[in-house]
Order: sequence, then structure tokens, then C-alpha cells
Amino acid sequence: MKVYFMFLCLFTFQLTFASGTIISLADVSKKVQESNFAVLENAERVYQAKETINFSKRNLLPRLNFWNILKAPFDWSSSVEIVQDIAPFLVPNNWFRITQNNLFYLAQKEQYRALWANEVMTAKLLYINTLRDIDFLRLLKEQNTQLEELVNIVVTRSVFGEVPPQVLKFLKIRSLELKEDIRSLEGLVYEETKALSYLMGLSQEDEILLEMIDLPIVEDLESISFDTFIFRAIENAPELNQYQYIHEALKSTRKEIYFTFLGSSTTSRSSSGGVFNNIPIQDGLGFGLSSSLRISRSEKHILEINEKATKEVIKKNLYILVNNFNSYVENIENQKKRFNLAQDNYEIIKTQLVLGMNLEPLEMLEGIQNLFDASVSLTNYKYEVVNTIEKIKRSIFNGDYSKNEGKLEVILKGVSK
Amino acid sequence: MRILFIILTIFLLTSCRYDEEFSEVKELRNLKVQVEEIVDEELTMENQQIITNYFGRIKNVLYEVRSNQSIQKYTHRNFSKFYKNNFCNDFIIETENYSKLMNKCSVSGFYICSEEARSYVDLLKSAKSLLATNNIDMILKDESCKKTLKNLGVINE
Repeated sequence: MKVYFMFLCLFTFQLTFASGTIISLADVSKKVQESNFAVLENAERVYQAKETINFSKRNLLPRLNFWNILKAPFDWSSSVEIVQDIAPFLVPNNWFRITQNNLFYLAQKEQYRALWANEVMTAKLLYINTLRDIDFLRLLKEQNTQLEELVNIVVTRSVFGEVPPQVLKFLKIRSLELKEDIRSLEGLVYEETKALSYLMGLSQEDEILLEMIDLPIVEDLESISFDTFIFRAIENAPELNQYQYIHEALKSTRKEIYFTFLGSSTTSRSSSGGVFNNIPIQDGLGFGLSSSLRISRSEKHILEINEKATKEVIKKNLYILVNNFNSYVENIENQKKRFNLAQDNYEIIKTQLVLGMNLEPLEMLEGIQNLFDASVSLTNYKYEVVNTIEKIKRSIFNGDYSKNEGKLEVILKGVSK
Repeated sequence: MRILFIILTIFLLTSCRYDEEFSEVKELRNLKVQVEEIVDEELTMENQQIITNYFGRIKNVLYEVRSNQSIQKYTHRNFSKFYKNNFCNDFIIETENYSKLMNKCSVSGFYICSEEARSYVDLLKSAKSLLATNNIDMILKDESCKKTLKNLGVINE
């Protein structure tokens, strides 16, 4: 019984190993969030920013510095340093650092949200493009079968001298070209699958199989307007939201400049705080104060310029996406007509062939090629619509991208959905 | 004179306490009226801004309260002083208007309004969790308010 059980286990394991892991499009965003390398690294940065808040809070409590205490009997001036050890809460700049680190934490969370959304989108688009290439591969194989049938017919006809030998050779060359296309497309699909595994943080040893998706019925889609979408795109953009927090943190940095005469803070800013490294802060009140303030004002201008540039980039991308989406919706009929005509043409050629009519092999080849081109074009069109929808969702943070902004996330933590 | 000074100091310290947060709450009344006025209108940029102002303000107030224990304690203690019977009428959007708003916010399968608007019910649930039981009881004494909150799905009973 035990042996049977072991055989069963072994058999199940082999079956799983052989078939690989089946991944659906819905799994992609989950996998990226759980195990994408860049996302994981950035999550650690967010964690560090959060922990920096705790550090700066605890830095307000008294601390023991043995050497400062030892120094005091010999050097009375060093007793001032002891004040910073015993009562760091009396140093206003320590309080400002808490405010700043709180704001940098929220800014860091926004950066994480942007990175996460970009990684999810990249992975999802790669998934969709891989499926498109798998579909192209299927169409190429179909074309190959059709071409092989044609080559067989032409071989028979060339025996009777009905077809010149160069036509047969031409068709054979075309058939070989097609086989080469199939080989290189198979290679591309393999490459894409491996890249997708990497984006999802899966081991390269694992084989993944992609589940097909339902392509949209483009005819049922309605045109959209830029004006109704832009508000949400700008309102939700983490790339812009982070500036809001950095601006607030800058105000706090200016207060820090004014209060340096009561001591500097020993707490460092979190990783996002690096944006203020250019602002020099004197240790004590000195003539450098006005320069520090002017530099902080200039830093504010830089932030405003960057914010405006980011806003324009978001607008530019959305304009292009809305235009593409509407163009797809309006032109789907053309694509369908082209495909239907090519299919009709191919059917006519096939019927004529069955009836024994004398057809030019090159005309037959053109019919096959036309049908293939139209099929590829229609399939590509539908996948392009899926891609555009996905990009719009990323722009306005819908569907898999609807991750809450920092404050909202904090408030809704623990609230039942 | 000394006693007068102490009383004055205490008065100054307590009167200004959380003034900013409470003025934000008071401002919600106007913002809510503005949202209700545009419920039947088209979703222009200006109207989307109005929607965001109201729901975003709720988020900001809740964030301040949630991240500050002393505001919470202060609110629990002094709730009855500030509470007026028309709380829901003043601050909460009716279910019907909220549903209309949400319908407008869905275009061709995309959601285009602010995230805070979509999370309205959850925001209210979060607000509920920040209040003391007696504070909530006080709000629920008003039957129409209880009905509104129940219809929105904030409370079950």
C-alpha cells in the first residue's frame, strides 16, 4: 500500500513538473506584488522609511553617551552636549525631523505605488504580447499547412509539365522561409516566457504555461473623451502625489534652518529625503542663514518645474492613449472587411482547385498570403486594443492597478470591504 | 492676578486646541452641499474637483484623527459638546445621490472619479471605528440618520 502511495506521489510530481505552472492574466499582478525583485526592494525602502519615523520619535527620548559625561568635569562647555543627550526633545529640529520623516514615508509609499504599477503593467503587457505571438505562431503553422498542400498539388502538376520548374522551386523556397519564420517565432515566445517568469519573480527552472484571454468585442466598445479621464489620471498619479508630500517636507526644512541656533538634529532623513541634500544648514545661527533660505526657495522652484513636467507627461500619454483607443473603435469594421474578403478569396481558389480548374500557383500563393496577412492584422488589432485598455487602466489606476494612496491605505486598514 | 493669568493660559491653550481639524470638519457641510448640487450634472473637470474636495476632505480629517491619539481622546470626551442632531443631514450624502454619482463615475468600464469617492462607505466605517460607543449611540438616536447609514451599508442593525 505504502509503495503504491509513493508511486502515486512520484507520478503526480512528474505530471506537475512536465506540464509546468499554468498562469492566468489575473495571477500576474498578484505574482508581481508578491515576488517581483524591484517591487520587493522598493517595499524594503518603504519599510525603512517607516522605521525612520520610529527612530526619530525615539530620538527625542534621553540617551546615554558615556564619553560626553566623562568629558564634563574637565570641559564645562561640553555640558551643553549633555543637554542634547539628556533632553533631545528640547531641540526643535528633532521635532521637525519627525514631521519630515512622516512626509518622506508617504512620499516613499507613492514612489512604491508608481514602481509597482509600472512593473504590473510591464508584466501584463508582456503576457498579452506573448499570447499574441502564440496566436501568430498558430496562424503561421496554418499557413504552412496550406502552403504544403499547394506544393503537393504543384509537384503533381509539374510531373505532367503543366507548371514550369521555377514555380515549384519558388514555392519550395517560400515553404522553407515559412519554416524559418516558425522557428524564430518559437524562439521569441520562449524568450518572452522566460522574461515573464523573471518579472513575476519565479525561478527560471520553472516552466510556465499561459492561459488564453478573452479578446474584447471591439464593436461593442464606445469612444472615450480625454476631458473626463484626465482628472482621475492626474488626481491618482503617484508621480504627482509624492510632490505634495515633498513640498510639505520642504516647509519643515525651512523651519529647521531658522531653529539651528537651538541645535541640529542628529536624526537622518529617510531615503526620499535625499532631495534636500543640496540645502546647506549651518550648525548654529550665522550669516549663512539667508543663503540657506534662498537655496531652499530655489529647491522649491525645482520641485515645481519637475511637478509641471510630470503633469505634462501624464497628459501627453493620456492624449495618445485616448486617441489610439478611439481610432481602434472606429476602424474595426475595415479590419473585419479585409479579413472577410481575404477569406472569401481563399475559399474561391480552393473551390476552383477542387473543380479541376487551371489556376496559376502564384495566384494561389497570393491568396494564402493575403489570408494570412489579414488574419494577423485582425488578431494584432484585437491585442492592441487589450494593450491600450491596459495602459489606460494604469494611467487612471483602475482594475489591477487600483492601489490606494498612502493616507487612504492607512485609514482603510482593517476596515471590512 | 496670578489666578487670572493661569485661567487665561488654560483658556488659550484649550480653546485653540485642534481648531484646524474641527474647522475642516465644519467646512465639510458646504462641500457636501456642493456635491449634491452637481449630482445630476455632467462630469466635467470642475465637477470632479467638487467631488474630490468633499471626499478628499473626509479622508484628510480621518487621517489626522487616526494618526493622533490625543485628538481621538479629545473627541471621545467632548463629542456631546459639538454634536448636533442634524449630523447626517449636514455631513453625509444620501444613498440615492451617492448611487447616482457612482453611476456617472463609470464610463466604458473605467472608473474615473476619485478613489475616496469609491471608498466612501469604507471611510465612514473607519470613522465609526474611531468613535466611542456612546458617541455612535448618540448619532444613531436620530432615526433618519440611522436609516441613511444603514442604506449606505455603514451599519448593519
